[in-house]
Amino acid sequence: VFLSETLQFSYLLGVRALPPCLPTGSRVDSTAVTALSGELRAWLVPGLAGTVATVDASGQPRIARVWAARALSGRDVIEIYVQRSASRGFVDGVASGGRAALNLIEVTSYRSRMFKGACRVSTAAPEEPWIEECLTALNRVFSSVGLAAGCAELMLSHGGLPLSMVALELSVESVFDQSPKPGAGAPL
Amino acid sequence: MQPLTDIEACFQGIIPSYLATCSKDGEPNITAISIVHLLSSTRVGVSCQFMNKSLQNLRDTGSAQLMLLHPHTLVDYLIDLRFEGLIDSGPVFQKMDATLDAIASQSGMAGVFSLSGVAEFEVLGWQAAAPAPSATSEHAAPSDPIEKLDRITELLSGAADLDAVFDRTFSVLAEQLGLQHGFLLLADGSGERLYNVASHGFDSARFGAEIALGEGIYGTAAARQVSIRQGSMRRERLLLHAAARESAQPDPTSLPLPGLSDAESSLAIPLLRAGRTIGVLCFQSPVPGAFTEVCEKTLIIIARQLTAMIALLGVGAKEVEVSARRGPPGGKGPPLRIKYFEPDGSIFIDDEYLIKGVAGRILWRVLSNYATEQRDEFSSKEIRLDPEIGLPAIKDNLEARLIALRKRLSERTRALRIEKTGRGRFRLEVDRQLVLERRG
Repeated sequence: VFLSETLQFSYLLGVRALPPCLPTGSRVDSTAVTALSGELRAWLVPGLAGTVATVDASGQPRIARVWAARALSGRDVIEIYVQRSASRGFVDGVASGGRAALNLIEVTSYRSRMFKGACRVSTAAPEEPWIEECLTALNRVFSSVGLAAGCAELMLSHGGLPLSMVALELSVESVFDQSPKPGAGAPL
Repeated sequence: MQPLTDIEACFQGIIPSYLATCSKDGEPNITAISIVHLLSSTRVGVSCQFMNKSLQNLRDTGSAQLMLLHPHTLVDYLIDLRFEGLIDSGPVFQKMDATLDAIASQSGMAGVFSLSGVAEFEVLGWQAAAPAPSATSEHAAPSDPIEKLDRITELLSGAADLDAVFDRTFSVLAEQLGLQHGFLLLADGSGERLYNVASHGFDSARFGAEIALGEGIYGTAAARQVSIRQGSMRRERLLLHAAARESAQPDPTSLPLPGLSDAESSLAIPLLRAGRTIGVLCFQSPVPGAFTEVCEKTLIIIARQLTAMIALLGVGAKEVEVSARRGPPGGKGPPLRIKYFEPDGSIFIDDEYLIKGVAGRILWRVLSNYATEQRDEFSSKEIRLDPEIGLPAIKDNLEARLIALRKRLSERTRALRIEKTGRGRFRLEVDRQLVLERRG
């Protein structure tokens, strides 16, 4: 059912020889860009805490934690990664409903955005170095707010090793400002 | 279904949670929630501040899922919910509203946030997001709370006077419940301010420190007459430090409450008697989510006994006559320079702030008598009868005031002491000459 690749996180197993990082958002598509402004694209950097929700066939909302997210070049698409073993309800829900809402938070400032649109499991090859960059950045911001060092690895380890990630593509149709303040939730 | 109390630590607001809902036409929505409240083993509540779309979805479909991260094990939990309704009154709403007010006040953001309601949910089921051998229940073998309560109340009931009650309370709670950092605020006669009369486990005890009713977590617990528990104070501490940096001239008579510089958890239990707040039991911990619901309920029971003991033992012996005994003038070391500022009753010893308000006026009164009449023994009755001190006609709390003053003096100087000499009677002991200066 899952078309995405399974990622074996060698760094979690103690092997750290990795290929050099590719530039963020290196995939190119000619589809017109409308929903993701330049400012939003610039904001989508490694280190954002994320969760994504869909609705399954029975009408029940399903949540998964997002470990990496980035805007793809030239398209209103955000590529996200969730852990397979911790996201079964969500991935099944995406397969049946095809809609998702993605919440991303800048942990140190509470600045928050929600992206909504059609969602599908990706067929593209994952970029391990980029995912590792995201996890390293998450560890940094989590520890800056008091969580233990290496907490991203600990959280992922509950899903069992070797790690297996699912890549998804969210075609962004609308964006909302969810920073905590009066009027939160207004469309951007 | 396992009771949600198995993962109680998830409900202390240490790490934000997420709430997913869906619209009538199947569009999902997700929002971060600062704290999910555990209402019972099968019900949870979410305070509604900035979640209009989620509320609309809940009213339309009633379905929701929560994701909570366990702060100690870092296991994600998913909870399936059915929306039951929005509460905007009653004890659950009042407690959450008071907690929100307290956090806002503590953060210097009073009035910014308002609680429109509490979304109440029935829990349909819950599980770890990724069931794994390491994700286990946090159930440890619990110690018997009744046995502990029995021991605590027994030890407290042995106290013969207020002094002993204040001294014993925190040592007993540290020994029996492991609460290492706490203090007790009592309401003054006007009911508008709270002052610190007992302190345990802090670098500086700060006896006599005052706050207004409704100020911060402890003042809000007193004003709203509900216990307030906070599991993560990091954000509030950062905001307070920022506010302190920006403030212009610090008030020289400001004596902050005792506190841990790295406090993560806080608990305030009001002492209530006949609908009136007589004080607040206050606790802190450097550990996030340190105070559990069981701990809170245990302390509420203990607070009731403490309230009764304060009411019983705090009644002054009004029949004691004014003493006229004269004592020797002190003369060891250089003179002690004492300044009294009449408008706010503040006292400075050698240019360092000591105390203000009623306690300051009491001290000035006995120091003046000592200097002009060389009298060193006093009675509670003459203090009560002195109109300049400004004690209220009823419920003046004088005994507790004198205890706070005595302890504050012992914190600041060895040359000036107040010693209890009998029921309703005390003595001023002075080891150095006094130079008194009164300013209008």
